[in-house]
Amino acid sequence: MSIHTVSKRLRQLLSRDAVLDRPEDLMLYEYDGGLAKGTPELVVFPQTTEQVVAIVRAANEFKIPIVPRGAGTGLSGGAVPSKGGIVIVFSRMNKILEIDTANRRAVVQPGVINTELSAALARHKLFFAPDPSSGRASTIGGNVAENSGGPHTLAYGVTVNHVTGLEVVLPSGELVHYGGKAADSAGYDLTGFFCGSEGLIGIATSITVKLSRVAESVATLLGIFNSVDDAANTVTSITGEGITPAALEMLDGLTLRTVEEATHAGYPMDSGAVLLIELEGLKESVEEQAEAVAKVCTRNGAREVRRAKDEAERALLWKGRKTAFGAIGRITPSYYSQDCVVPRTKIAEVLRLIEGVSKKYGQRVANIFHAGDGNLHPAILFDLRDPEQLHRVLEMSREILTHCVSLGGTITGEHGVGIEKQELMSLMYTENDMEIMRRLRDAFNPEGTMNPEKIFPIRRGCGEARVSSVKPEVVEVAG
Amino acid sequence: MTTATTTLRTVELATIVGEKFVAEAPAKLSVLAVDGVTPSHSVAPGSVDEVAAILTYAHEHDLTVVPAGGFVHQEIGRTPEQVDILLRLERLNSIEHYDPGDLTIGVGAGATIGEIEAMLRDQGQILPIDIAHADRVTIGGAMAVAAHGPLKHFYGGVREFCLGVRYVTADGKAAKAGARVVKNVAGFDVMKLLIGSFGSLAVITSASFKLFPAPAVTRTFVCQFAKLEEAIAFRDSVVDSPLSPMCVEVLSPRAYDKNAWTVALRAGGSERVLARYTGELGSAVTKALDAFEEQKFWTDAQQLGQESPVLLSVSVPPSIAGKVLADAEQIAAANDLSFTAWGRVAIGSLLFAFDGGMAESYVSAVDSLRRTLPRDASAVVNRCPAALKPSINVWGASPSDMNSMAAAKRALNPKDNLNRGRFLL
Repeated sequence: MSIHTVSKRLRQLLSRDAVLDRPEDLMLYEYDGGLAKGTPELVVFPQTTEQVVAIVRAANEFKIPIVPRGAGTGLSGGAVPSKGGIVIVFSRMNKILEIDTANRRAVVQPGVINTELSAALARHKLFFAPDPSSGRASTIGGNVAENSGGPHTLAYGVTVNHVTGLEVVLPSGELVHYGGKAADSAGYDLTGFFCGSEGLIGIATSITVKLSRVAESVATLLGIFNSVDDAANTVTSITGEGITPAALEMLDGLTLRTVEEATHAGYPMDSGAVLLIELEGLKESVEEQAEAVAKVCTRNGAREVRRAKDEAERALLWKGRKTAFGAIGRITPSYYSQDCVVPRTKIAEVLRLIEGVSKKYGQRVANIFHAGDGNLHPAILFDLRDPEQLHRVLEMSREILTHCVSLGGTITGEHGVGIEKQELMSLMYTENDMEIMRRLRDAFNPEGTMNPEKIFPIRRGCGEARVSSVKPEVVEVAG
Repeated sequence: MTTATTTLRTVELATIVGEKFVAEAPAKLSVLAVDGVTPSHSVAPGSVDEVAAILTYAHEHDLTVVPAGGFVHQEIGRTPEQVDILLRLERLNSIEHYDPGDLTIGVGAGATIGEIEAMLRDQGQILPIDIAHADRVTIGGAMAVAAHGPLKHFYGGVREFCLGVRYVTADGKAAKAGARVVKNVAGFDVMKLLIGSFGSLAVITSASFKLFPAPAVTRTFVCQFAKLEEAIAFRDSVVDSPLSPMCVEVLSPRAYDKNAWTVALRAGGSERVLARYTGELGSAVTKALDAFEEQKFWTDAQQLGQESPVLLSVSVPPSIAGKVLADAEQIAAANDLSFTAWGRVAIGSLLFAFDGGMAESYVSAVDSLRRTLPRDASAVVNRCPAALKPSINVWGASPSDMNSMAAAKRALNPKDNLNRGRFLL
């Protein structure tokens, strides 16, 4: 009954078309880019901060769960309403409020899309650095919630490194401010803490981001290798030379062949791995680094190093990388993409492990990842219609992630924990570690109504629960 | 406190850390006084478990604890009412991991910046916390105060390159957050809360950091201007240029050359890259410093304000840095104070030193300066005579919600016994 009262009230507060409650409409908000699923009872589209406050307060009166949602491109179930309740969609809070070139800041509403912000900044020769591969759809609010990365985080850092201020609606419905345009402020760094908190401690309704200057010169190189090991060793050799590329991406043999068939980016079909290396900066420094990188590749057994001659060639090389997951979709009914990180010196080791796991379980794995950061995205190919295969895939993931953690790595580099990895948190963190994090959640979200049942283990015999809640097709645009 | 309970406490603390690492004699402890408040006990734990046991003990007995590293930044903050336990982290100084190929390092909270720098130098890598007294400042201390030097311009503050942390909450729970890899979003970013929390949330026991390759060659371009506005206009031209220097530091007339406002640009790279800087900067360059001269310039800059009675750390949106410098200079003059300013002028991270005045003139200058600042700026008094602390507002205002800060504090330091009374809240 309570949801109907709230629904009625919100229809009066927001415009009529800003509240959805028909089952056929609600179905569209059951999932995000990940595997989990949950049906909301109400979906609302606020246009102002005041409306967000009103929605949160109305929900609180009846202790109705709230799940904030950007574009739903997240891969860990962060925007999935697993406990029902209200999904607040930010697609209508999509205004760039201010572009402040003198301070190199922009103030945006949470629903602004990454590429829209980039487009608005282009004429100022500025950009917002986080560049998730879902950037054509993903929102800055979602970037903040998940602390998103992307191929260029190697040199530029992740979202938290580019946010200086937030306007936040707390789970209590109170509107507060953290930070501002200044880089630092007296008191705790709540802005930093909020980034990556996956919607558990509040909803950002306005975000102040740092802007970076577009580099004068860019060089994009493609290193072609006969083996994954040679490519992996090249990664550490490049950073060992004191070079920090803007991006350093790897595609293994299976991936590059699949991509080549789909995009004709020019990757040789018989190679074992390619490295896509991008250098940015002063033209003098880019030239020197490009020469050095080419030498390092050759020294590590590259059979060829190509350099994009112009923007069109550069775009083609990147197209292969950016559409890789789409291409993989052509050769498999479904795939499950992981997001583990290892120290970059362990890349070769972990790739060998993944190969072993792949053989052991009899499921193919395509590797495509941010090699410079050691952030791997092994995509396990399978058929979702076969429950046994799905079971194997989840087992494989766990095995791979366990190994990554044992090497000093993490279970997620940029996709978040959400629902997908909540039962895997204990691979990384002890009960004490999580108890303190829970205390922090409870300090901000005492009723647990804001994005409930996320991040922390809920011990529901998860494997089984999730298998049954999987949606029929996997559509991923992984980082 | 009676001698009997003091002795009992000594015995109890000694069972945790060993007799050798507990001190209670006032004669020994007066040198460790915090703003003149002598601690009742000093303990130096040798492990995370011991830190946890001490904090559990303090929590159960309602004792106030002040964590301490190298005693370089201990003067920051309000005067504590009492210090029951001074918790010295100096023994937790091991290098937990150093992987040159991964450009990461993990170190105990008690390790000094100087030790780490020396180790990294051999590998041509840096941890960009370039501050004075590096031989004494510990990792834990640097994180607690979010210490930074000129390199913050390019590399950012500690928050940007700290990857993970191990810490003990005020009620004695040993925990960790983050990891030792350069990208990780599993769980809450507790590091961000602890960095700059001045030991008011938890005790940091170790941390992991991202490292950076040291540039092959560096050169410092000293650019001098008769007027502040010219120096700021030059800053703007640098920011809008394709150059990406490691440091862009402003130095007021008293900081470097009494006849000029100086902007010092430090660039790294090959000779070809440095030649490009020379070309771009053109006639703005008064002199270019290399090698020893360059080293001396930056070492001298670190000494700025070391002797000044009042030191402020000011963070403002970069576009108003010029105005704030001008206002501060004028306010100092109006209060008969001499004024020295320096800092990371392109990112709005500045330091002001006031000298040569009466107690009330310092208070008045700080208040006046704060009145000129916008809501999202901060001006924290990093140093002032202890006698001034009751009348000067050390922390000033914060643009961030105080209730949220209080919530975070309740979660980690529920009885407020860590650095009680010293922080903003």
